[in-house]
Amino acid sequence: MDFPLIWNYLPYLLHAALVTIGISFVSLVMGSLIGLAFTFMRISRSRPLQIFVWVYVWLIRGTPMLLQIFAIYYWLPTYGIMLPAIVAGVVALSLNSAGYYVDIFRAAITAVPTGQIEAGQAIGMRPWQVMFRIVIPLSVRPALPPYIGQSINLVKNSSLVSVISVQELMFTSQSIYSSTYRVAEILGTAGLIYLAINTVLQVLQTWMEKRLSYYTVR
Amino acid sequence: MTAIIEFDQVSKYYGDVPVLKNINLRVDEGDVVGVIGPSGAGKSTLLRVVNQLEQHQSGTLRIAGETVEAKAGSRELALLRAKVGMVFQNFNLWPHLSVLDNIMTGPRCVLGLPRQEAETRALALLERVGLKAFSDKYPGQLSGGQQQRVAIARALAMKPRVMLFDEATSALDPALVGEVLEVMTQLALERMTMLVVTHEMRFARQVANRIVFMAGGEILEEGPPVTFFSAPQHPIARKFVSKVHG
Ligand SMILES: Nc1ncnc2c1ncn2[C@@H]1O[C@H](COP(=O)(O)OP(=O)(O)OP(=O)(O)O)[C@@H](O)[C@H]1O
Ligand SMILES: [Mg+2]
Repeated sequence: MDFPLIWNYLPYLLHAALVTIGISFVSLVMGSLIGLAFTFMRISRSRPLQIFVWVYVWLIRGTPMLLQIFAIYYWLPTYGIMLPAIVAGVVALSLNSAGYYVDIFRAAITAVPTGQIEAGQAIGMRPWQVMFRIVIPLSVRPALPPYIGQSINLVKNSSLVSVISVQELMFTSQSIYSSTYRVAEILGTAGLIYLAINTVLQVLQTWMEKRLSYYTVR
Repeated sequence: MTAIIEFDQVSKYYGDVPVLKNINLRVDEGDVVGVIGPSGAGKSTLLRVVNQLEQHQSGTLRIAGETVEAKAGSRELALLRAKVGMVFQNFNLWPHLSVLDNIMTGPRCVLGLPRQEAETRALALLERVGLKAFSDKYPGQLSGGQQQRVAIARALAMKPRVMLFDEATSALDPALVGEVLEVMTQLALERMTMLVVTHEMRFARQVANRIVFMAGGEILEEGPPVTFFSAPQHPIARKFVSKVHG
């Protein structure tokens, strides 16, 4: 192990890690919002909206993420939509994760016991009140583990946007080891940084599960 | 006498299967009507049609004088349901809200009461069901009997014209049944209009002023508890009464 070398390049790697965190965070927020909107469309009574989301999820889940990144970066410009690499990367990650978040949110929402909903209807709550005051709050805890799981995937998938030269952790690592030839040191460090980021998410999950556990206490 | 609930030839089907057949029933203000009958008789469905958790397909239903349209929008439904309190077998308290918030949600969201007023009302109701000290607890921290009493308070917080009870004590440990029946008895004494599906024959006999006996989606017999329990007319009712007494 060439520790001095790692030490020398650490500032570059950490800076790139910030880019990874930034891309992942924005994509997580956007992806969640799109996912939530699509979930409402999917459980709405409108057949066209349901079908739209169904097809969307089918396409996102059925095609490689790499292909989706290329499509947004190289194919959209033929329709006059030219995005800087980093924006294309964020768009790809957001749209991709949204496709997975939809099913996570939908499963949690539809698993809320009917009795909870009927209790709201029975006192005269309107459908949206039942949704926002009962169904969604009760969905948070069951959705949490798969939601964090998909968010961890999102952080790892962000390494794929290196293929369109976004200078995040993976891209930076590659350019460092291709000039220094110290693959193990550099990739090992990058791996540890990914692990650290995802550990934060993992801890967040555990903490939130604990905080939300009051309603299972018996 | 003001009629609170009027069923006029009301029928309800699940698919092709009739579960309520030409129901005629009138519940006046202050009535306590006990609904009894074998499993699958349609008792729950009868209650759920009253607050339109289930829609009927034919006949006329009037609640507090207003006809319930089969194709009512969510606004009309909400207005109807605000007038009708319902207590479920499994309590259905919201586990993510404190006891106080469970009770305040209706007055706040549906009636638009200011926080202070809703809280005063909720606390008074908690006092009435003997659970004032539990206002900050969560449902998961209460016994079944306590949860059901909170659920009754939650329904009462809407100041409903009528209260529906669907086997409110069936899910409880025998030891906890009494405290809930006590609250219900108190309500009846305060002249609350009540439609009570129950398997507690003693309660039905002592508290109800009228018994409705259902089987196979029909009301087979209706009358004062004394007459009904001592001399049921319909053969099925006779068999049912002798079985629950035996
Ligand atoms: N959602 C549903 N879909 C189809 N059939 C149903 C549904 N709900 C109830 N039923 C049927 O309707 C009939 C009446 O049911 P209901 O629950 O009203 O009976 P009940 O008198 O309340 O019985 P119990 O004493 O067991 O609670 C039963 O035959 C039942 O199987
Ligand atoms: Mg029933």
